[in-house]
Amino acid sequence: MSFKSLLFVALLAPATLLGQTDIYVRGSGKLFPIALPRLCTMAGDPQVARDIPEIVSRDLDLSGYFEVLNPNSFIEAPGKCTAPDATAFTDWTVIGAEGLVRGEIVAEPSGIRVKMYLLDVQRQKVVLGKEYVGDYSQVSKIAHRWANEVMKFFTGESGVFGTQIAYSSRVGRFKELFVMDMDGSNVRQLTNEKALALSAAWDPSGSRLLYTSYRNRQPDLFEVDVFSRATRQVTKNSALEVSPKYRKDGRSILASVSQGGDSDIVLLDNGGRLVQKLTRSNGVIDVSPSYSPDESQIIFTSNRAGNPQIYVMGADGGGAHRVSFVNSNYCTDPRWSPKGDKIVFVCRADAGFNLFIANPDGSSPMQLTSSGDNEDPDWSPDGRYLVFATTFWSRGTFHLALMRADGSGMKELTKSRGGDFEPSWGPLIP
Amino acid sequence: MRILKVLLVAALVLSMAACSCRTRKVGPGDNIPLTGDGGPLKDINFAFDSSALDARAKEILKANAAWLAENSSRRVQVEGHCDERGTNEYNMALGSRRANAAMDYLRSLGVQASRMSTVSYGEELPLDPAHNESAWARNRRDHFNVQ
Repeated sequence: MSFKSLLFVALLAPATLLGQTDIYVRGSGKLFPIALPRLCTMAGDPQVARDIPEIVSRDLDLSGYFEVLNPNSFIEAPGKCTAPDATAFTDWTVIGAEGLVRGEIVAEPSGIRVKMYLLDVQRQKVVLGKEYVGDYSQVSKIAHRWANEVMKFFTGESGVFGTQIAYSSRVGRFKELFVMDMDGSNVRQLTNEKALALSAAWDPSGSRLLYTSYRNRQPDLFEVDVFSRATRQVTKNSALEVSPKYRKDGRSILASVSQGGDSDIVLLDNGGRLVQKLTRSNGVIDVSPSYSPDESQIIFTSNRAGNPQIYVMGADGGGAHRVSFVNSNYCTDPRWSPKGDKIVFVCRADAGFNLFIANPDGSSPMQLTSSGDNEDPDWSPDGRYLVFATTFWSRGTFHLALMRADGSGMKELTKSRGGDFEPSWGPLIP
Repeated sequence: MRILKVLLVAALVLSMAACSCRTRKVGPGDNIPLTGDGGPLKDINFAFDSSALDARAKEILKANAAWLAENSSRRVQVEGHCDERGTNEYNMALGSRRANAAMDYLRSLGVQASRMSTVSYGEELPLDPAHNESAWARNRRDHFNVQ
């Protein structure tokens, strides 16, 4: 059996559930206090024993559900080896921990075996256990998978740790495409075109990005492979194509095309050829289309009534109706949540540009941000989070931030000098 | 240090001379133009979220059309630009409308369509990087890149 398939089997094996779930995370008001001490390691790499709890801590902190306790407050010696149910629980109750993540690393001939446990400190028992086998290059993957298990235990749904976010970043006079892990780590530059690379969007498999590029001094759609960085030109014409989005089948592309002053929503095949024109409005801007999760409807920005507002129409282009009912004369950049229950968009309000969330018919709009400019929102694949560009931390320069879809728990993800824009959250890859 | 500066300036002058400013290309592999309101034709400006040509814009376009009539071998690329406010994708489309509004007007004044092209840079290439009303007013523009 090859090593890769060994890892596969171990990861897919049913979780060793050692207890029933009795802990619940209460609303977004109270954060669940959790401690993640260094792992026990007899013969494994001591660095891994530090790295895993650190990565999991960052994930749980980002999630907005947990208060990750400072290791300086721990009474137990770091890296202590003990059977999980033999934990000295009072050492943890006294510092306010209600949950405890501990684990051990065992060296294997070809890598490591990692055993992770979640403990309910008050009930003094192990409530979740899992075992992972992998090589050293897979340490962060193992940590993210365990963090997703912890999220699933507390919320009933796996987390999105380990997913990727693509975005544009200003490099000198140019904008290039970058990819990072959703916690802001592991930043990689994908393009070096010395031009403008904009509107990146993932393909359904999470291996390619569609984007608008000025690399030939004219805007056209391109595709870049995030692993090999090989590019493919998708359209080649005098029109301006922006905001491309793959359909789920990966074979067609929803985009907006500007030509002769008109801007229309179109469906292209993945060779860039026109399949269908979905809007045909004279002298009007229709832009930024994206599908509802079942792809039966399209949400987009249009200035057909005089100023930009958000509209929804059928996937064939019929029945367009307005869904932004915020007191604003400028609303743009809509995205439908992956669960289908909400839409997010940007409106000019409160002397800035702010994020709003509403039901897909536009009812019950709620303002999520109120400081600085906040633009380019996109949903996490589980619909629990939004990533967006904000000037909240540095006036005039956009950086990417993450927050829960109710507007709580805002965290800064990037800090590049030139600014970061137009994030696109990649799919959850099992 | 001083020598280095002199060398740098000399290199810059040389590279500018080498470019002959037909394409305003800056460095090797550099694919977007430098911003700057230089060139024989004047920029025109727009109101926020508008591609309408006001009286002042039309005056400038008339002068630009006259220059193009006198210099009939020159071609022009009309660049549509926006201020930084609003979202990038909408501004790309708005820049396209602004460039086309000027091109249509120039055509109505007799400039041959075959001598003109348009490109939108949205809010990506501001003339003035400041974040205030006067910078935004300058950045909402059509620039005429004479080739």
